[in-house]
Amino acid sequence: MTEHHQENVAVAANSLFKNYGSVEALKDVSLSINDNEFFTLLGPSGCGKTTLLRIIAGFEAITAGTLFLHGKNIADLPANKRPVNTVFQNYSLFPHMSVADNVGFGLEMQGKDKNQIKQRTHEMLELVQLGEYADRKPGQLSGGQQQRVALARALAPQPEVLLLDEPLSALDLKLRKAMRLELKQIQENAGITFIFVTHDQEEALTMSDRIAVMSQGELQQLGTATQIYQEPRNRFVADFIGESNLIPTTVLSSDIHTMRCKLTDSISIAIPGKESVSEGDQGELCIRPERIRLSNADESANLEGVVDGIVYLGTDTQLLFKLDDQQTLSVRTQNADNDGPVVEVGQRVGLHIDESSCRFLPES
Amino acid sequence: MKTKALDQIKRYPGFFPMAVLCLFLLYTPLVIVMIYSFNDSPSITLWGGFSLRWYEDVFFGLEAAKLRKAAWNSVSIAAMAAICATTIATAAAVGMVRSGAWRGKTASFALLNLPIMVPEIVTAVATLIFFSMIGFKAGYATILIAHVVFCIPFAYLPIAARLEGIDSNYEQAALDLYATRWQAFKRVLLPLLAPGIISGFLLAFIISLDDFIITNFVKGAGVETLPTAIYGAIRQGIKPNIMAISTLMLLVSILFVTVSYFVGRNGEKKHEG
Ligand SMILES: Nc1ncnc2c1ncn2[C@@H]1O[C@H](COP(=O)(O)OP(=O)(O)O)[C@@H](O)[C@H]1O
Ligand SMILES: [Mg+2]
Repeated sequence: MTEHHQENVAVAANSLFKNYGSVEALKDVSLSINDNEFFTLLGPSGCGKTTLLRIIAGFEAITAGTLFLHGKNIADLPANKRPVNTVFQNYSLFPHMSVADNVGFGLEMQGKDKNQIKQRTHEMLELVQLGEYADRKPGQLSGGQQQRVALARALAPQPEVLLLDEPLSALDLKLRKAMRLELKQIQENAGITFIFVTHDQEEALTMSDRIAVMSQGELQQLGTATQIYQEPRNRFVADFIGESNLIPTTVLSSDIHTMRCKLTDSISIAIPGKESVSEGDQGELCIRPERIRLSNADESANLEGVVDGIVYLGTDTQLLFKLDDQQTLSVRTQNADNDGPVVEVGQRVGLHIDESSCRFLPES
Repeated sequence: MKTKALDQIKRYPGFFPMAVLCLFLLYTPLVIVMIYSFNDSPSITLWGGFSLRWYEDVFFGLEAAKLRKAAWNSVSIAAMAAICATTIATAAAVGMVRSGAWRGKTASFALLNLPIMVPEIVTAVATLIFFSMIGFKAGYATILIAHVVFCIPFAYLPIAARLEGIDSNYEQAALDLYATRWQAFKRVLLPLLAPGIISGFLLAFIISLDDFIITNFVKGAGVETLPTAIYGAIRQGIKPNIMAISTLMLLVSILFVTVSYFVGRNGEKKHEG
């Protein structure tokens, strides 16, 4: 299998299956993660993210499939022989050891000499800005500081791949947002492959080079943030990543460039074409709420709707429209530039859908 | 929540007199023994003034040598039995608690703890029969072996309880950071488990120290522990020096229980903190 290895691939998983008794935690997951990539596993709770991470770390055996690390088959390598470190969800810092001893633990186990351990520990604590906390016990630190210690501890032995299991989930929102940028920066500076697990799509979109969206043990889509947001492959991805209007539709006509899809009984829209879709196919239209504008009658409004609800969200306002066939449509307008038509509930308004951004999701 | 529940119990009618009655029944005999151990009179019922003569008798009297020998047997057996039982119990606890699910785990758990439930006299008879079947000569060694065995479940309980409270992620974190299984145990699990192990050790020590029934069956002639020596002495009539010995043993027990309590509490605090 080694001959298939590509230079820049850090982790390659092929057809991974993992069963816990009758529970299928992973079903036929194949993915390859590049060197120096910030790779995110994204999906709702229970979809198998932690399981996949624990398999890569070596804490769980594979039921079927293969797993390569830099071209080397590691399926049978025990956790303590894999050049991979983990930042655990609850950090799991050793409570009886000082911060410095925690950070130095991996190096010590690798048999590095004392001076080297001391120097590297110091370096790592400086990196996460905890230099003066070296002698404290983890219990004396705040959640955010513990999180940094866990990161320093996992980075200290310079692993080939760093695994992070929802490392920010225990922090409050402000700290979480700050840590996102910091993590990303640390990853870029360290030049280490990060595999990051989260159920928070915003977190995934802001930090990742590439994202693997998972659901019920299966890989749903793999791509950059823009790709999975703009080109969702199926209903699950469209629904899970960001907001979307998912409207049942039928394909009225289709060629390589455009296809025409039914929107309401009387209105259809022309959206970018897709291979292997033909006339009469059933499915759903994915229309992002921010791709719909309020439009005056003189402009090219595609359709009209009656305002059914207005939700003020600070930067945005969400407007809910009822279409002629009682279909609801959610629209987001930015509050920075809404000197346009200000609407009221019950008002009939012209709407313009950016057709080129709409996607057809075939029935699975 | 806890204090509130206690408040509510306190408000039940009759709670206070009931509590006093229970404490009275539990502690009056002990208190009487302690008081009469300082009695100057050779009678065990008539008070003849305060004196330490029975303590003197215990340490320097006619039976002092015999008692000292018995005390030494008791303490040395308790120490060795507790060490062996704690070591075995620690291994058993790690095996049981950290092995995930396997067939017969519940049965093994029951098997491990059954000796606590089995009437001691049954264990005693069984142990005696076992030793005579394999042709072991009754004596110091048979007492020690019997004590190691029956102390295991007592040492096991606090260790397993503590272990169940320790997240297995700690050991996995150690493995993740290149520790071998042994290093993960020694550097991470053992320090976290220490309060449980110490509690288990102290409990096993006390259980061994005051065991009478099994010891009496397997000890053979000539070897005595404190409880069997006291029993032997009582059969020739109760002398107040027995009360002095009893008081001393009680103090040792209280000391151990107190240490065990503080070790457990301290460990918990550390663990949380
Ligand atoms: N040790 C285990 N034993 C049995 N089932 C498990 C175990 N670990 C995980 N599972 C199951 O596998 C599925 C995936 O779990 P997990 O990987 O933890 O999901 P996530 O991290 O995405 O929330 C869940 O249905 C979970 O209940
Ligand atoms: Mg998880």
